[in-house]
Amino acid sequence: MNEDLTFDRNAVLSYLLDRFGLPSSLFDDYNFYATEKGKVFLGPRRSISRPDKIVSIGLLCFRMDNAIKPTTNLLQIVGNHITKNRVELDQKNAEKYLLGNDLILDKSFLSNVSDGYVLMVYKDHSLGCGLLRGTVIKNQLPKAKRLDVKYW
Amino acid sequence: MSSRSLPNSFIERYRDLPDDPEAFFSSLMTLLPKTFRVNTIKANRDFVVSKFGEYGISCEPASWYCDAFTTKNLNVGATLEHFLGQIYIQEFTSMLPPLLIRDELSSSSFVFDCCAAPGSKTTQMAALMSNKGTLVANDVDYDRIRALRFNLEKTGVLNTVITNQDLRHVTEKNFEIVLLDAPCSAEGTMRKSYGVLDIWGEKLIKYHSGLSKQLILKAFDALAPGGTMVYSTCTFAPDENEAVLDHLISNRASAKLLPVTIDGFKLGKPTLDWHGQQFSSEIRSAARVWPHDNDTDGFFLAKVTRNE
Repeated sequence: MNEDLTFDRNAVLSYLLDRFGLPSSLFDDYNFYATEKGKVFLGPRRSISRPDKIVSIGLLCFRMDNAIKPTTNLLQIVGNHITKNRVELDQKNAEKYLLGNDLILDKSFLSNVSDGYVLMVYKDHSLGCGLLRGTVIKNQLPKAKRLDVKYW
Repeated sequence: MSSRSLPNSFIERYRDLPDDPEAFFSSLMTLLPKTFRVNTIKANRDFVVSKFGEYGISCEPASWYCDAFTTKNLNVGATLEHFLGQIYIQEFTSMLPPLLIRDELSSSSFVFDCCAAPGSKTTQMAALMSNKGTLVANDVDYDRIRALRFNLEKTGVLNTVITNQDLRHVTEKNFEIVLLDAPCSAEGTMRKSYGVLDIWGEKLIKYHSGLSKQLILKAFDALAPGGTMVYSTCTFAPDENEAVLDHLISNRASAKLLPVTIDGFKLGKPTLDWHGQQFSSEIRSAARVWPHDNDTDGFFLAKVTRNE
């Protein structure tokens, strides 16, 4: 996997700042690596001398289809730094979210948020990504990560 | 307590190796405590201890590593903290190799984990590197790389490059740190699974001994001058431990062993004499981990520097 020189690092950093309030300095130690299938990985600046031997690099952080879509992996790591578009859940809704369900939320949960991708938060935990449309949160948790958690 | 018993050939082979054979063989018949590590990429120990306290899950910190815990509660895998990758269920012995080089890791920017899957030590090393620099995580087995990727994702590791190569064909060099946690006969893991005894025998030990002698030379050659390598196995067989180090010392004049010490953790001495073979006295610097000393798996550890 090669770092894609045509990949617009600044566009992604602007999105993260505008959407989530994340400063670009958080990503100074890392490169973005784009694949032909529209996946973007956040990984180390230095790679190895034989890129053909690489299976993967860093962490999948975005899918670039028509728009920039952040992954749950990324939002979990930087969640503590996210100041905008956070949705604080109660236990009942957090449980539904972790099981992979979409949520219909009362407006009291949705202050200071706008339509688009949001960080789902329960107490001090960054749970993952959701897609807000009105009062509906479309669940973005990967199927492999969905789990029945017994201890909260 | 398992209904299984140790094969006579195993008892015969290792009767004279430990300082306390009776305690050694008895310990192998007891269950391993449940242990986990706090993943400092995503959380800290005070946060996790506080949350577990709220759930009524008691956990005991290890005296030798502030992020390591034992618990009698078998449900730690069903906690939100485990789900989010804030804790990693990991045997104590598996935490030792990264711990042995924690100071070096904190200041290194190019590190090689030769046999990385499923990633317990890789994720720990990434945390000790503060998720910065470059950690090349290699494994020869592509199927096991799936588990490696899953664990790296879950724990939020960003600084890795995953490769799928036979270590004997790796050409990358100049790593500041190399970890070779070698494939082995895994005798030391039998407290977790007696299944290792199903395939155990002289033939398996001989195979791994030969393979490890090849791997340790390649791992050492990937090291930059002045760099540090850790060699570890989860087996008791001197053929796969001291004999492999002896092979390295005999074939690489620049290889120098450094003392293995972990404050608060009891370590055993290596053997310098096995089945008529005498090993270099330098090997005294390596260490054995006997299961009866710290209520753990069995393990072997050596720290090597490249003096050029």
